[in-house]
Amino acid sequence: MSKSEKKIVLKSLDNEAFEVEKAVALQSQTIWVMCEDKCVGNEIPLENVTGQILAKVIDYCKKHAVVDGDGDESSEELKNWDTEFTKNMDQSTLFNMILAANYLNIKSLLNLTCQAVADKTKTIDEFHTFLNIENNFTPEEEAQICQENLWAFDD
Amino acid sequence: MEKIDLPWDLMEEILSRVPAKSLGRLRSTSKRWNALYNSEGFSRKHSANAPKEESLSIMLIDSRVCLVRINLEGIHNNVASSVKVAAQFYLKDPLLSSSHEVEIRNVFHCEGLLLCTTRDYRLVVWNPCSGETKWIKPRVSYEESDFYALGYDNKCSCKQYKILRVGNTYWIAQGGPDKFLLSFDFTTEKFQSLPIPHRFAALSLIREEQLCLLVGGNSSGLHVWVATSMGPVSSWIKLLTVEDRSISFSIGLSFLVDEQNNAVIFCNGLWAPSCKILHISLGNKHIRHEVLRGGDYRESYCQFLLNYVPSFAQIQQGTLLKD
Repeated sequence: MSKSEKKIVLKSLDNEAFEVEKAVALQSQTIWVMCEDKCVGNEIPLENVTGQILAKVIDYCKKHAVVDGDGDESSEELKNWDTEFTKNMDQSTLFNMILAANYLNIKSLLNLTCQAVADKTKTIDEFHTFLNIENNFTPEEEAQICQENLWAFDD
Repeated sequence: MEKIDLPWDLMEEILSRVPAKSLGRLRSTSKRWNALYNSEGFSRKHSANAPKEESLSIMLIDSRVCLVRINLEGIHNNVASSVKVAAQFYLKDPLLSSSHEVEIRNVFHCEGLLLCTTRDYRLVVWNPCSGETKWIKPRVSYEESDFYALGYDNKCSCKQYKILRVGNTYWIAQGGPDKFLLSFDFTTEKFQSLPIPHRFAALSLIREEQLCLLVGGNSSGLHVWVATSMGPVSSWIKLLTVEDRSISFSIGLSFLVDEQNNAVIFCNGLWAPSCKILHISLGNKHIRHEVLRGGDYRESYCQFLLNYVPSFAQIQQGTLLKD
């Protein structure tokens, strides 16, 4: 295999191109299937992911790729790296990472980002700020539930 | 900022990783979220994904289940301990309109589900996190002295919760002059009696998994024994000893063990003279905390101190009732 065959170009929604090792990109089941099916000219368009998010996804995949003996990081080290990776991301970035991980079908990244949102979210408002959630309770119903769950607000 | 439309299955992935107590706060978000908490699929997902839940102390105070904050931090360095009735679990009476609350007589905990008997002789299994309840009518109406327990058959892939009724018998049971430990296997549905190391004893759980006994009397101090194995022959090792003369080994005694601080926290129950007091014993120290539910109550009666671990355990339909 020549060097160029080991590389692949990922193109984001906003037309940013990333050249990455194939072994890195193939952690995405979606890309893997695309490569099997109809990979034309080694360039894969990813219509659902922005360049900003894709860059982060690639960072993650590079770290987690097992490439020619580079994959000997201890699991402890990887875990610490994962924690640092999501630590400083804001909620909006995290939600977009979840969407990207889901679209690209990278199970471990999906787990990581879902856990990060779960860890950071403490109130309803945080969900309402970033997500479209319809609150269809009547004020009376909401008051009733709030009264039932008052204990859960005690820290 | 543009809001994100997160697909429902991803929302579920996130929520299944949020601790049960925090999720309880999110119940009023939308009808769909509220319904999710009562679904079997979510219950299973949550128990697989969510972090280990913090164990909380609850107590029955004036017939209400209340969350109690017991803070013993720094107690060995003469920092005062504190006991605060933090919040009340609200159980609405389905038979009465508006906001009538149920008067609870006894409470029993199993993995996030509370089994309560009520002052008007009803029986309910209740998950305070999801708000799910199941009211149960015993085949024969029960008596004040009846004792109930909740457990599950661990042979089934999904937990099959069962309710046990033991008329006039207690987990620490008495037969003739001797007390013994009565156990019930929810899988085989058989009783077994096991010896205990002391006549005066009460039973509790450590870390929600290890059986422990509080034994002793006035002169020798109080000892906490922990079960190392349970089987035809039970074996116990001593965990800690405290000096205490205020305990009364009567029927209503309940206790918790604070392993970190080597402390025993107990309440003597409604039948004891000090029924408004929560006792903390460590070393040769004894601290009394009067329990007050807050509001206009000048005095409160407390009983049944136990651990509660929030979860989204589901109450299945068609629960069996065993006599």
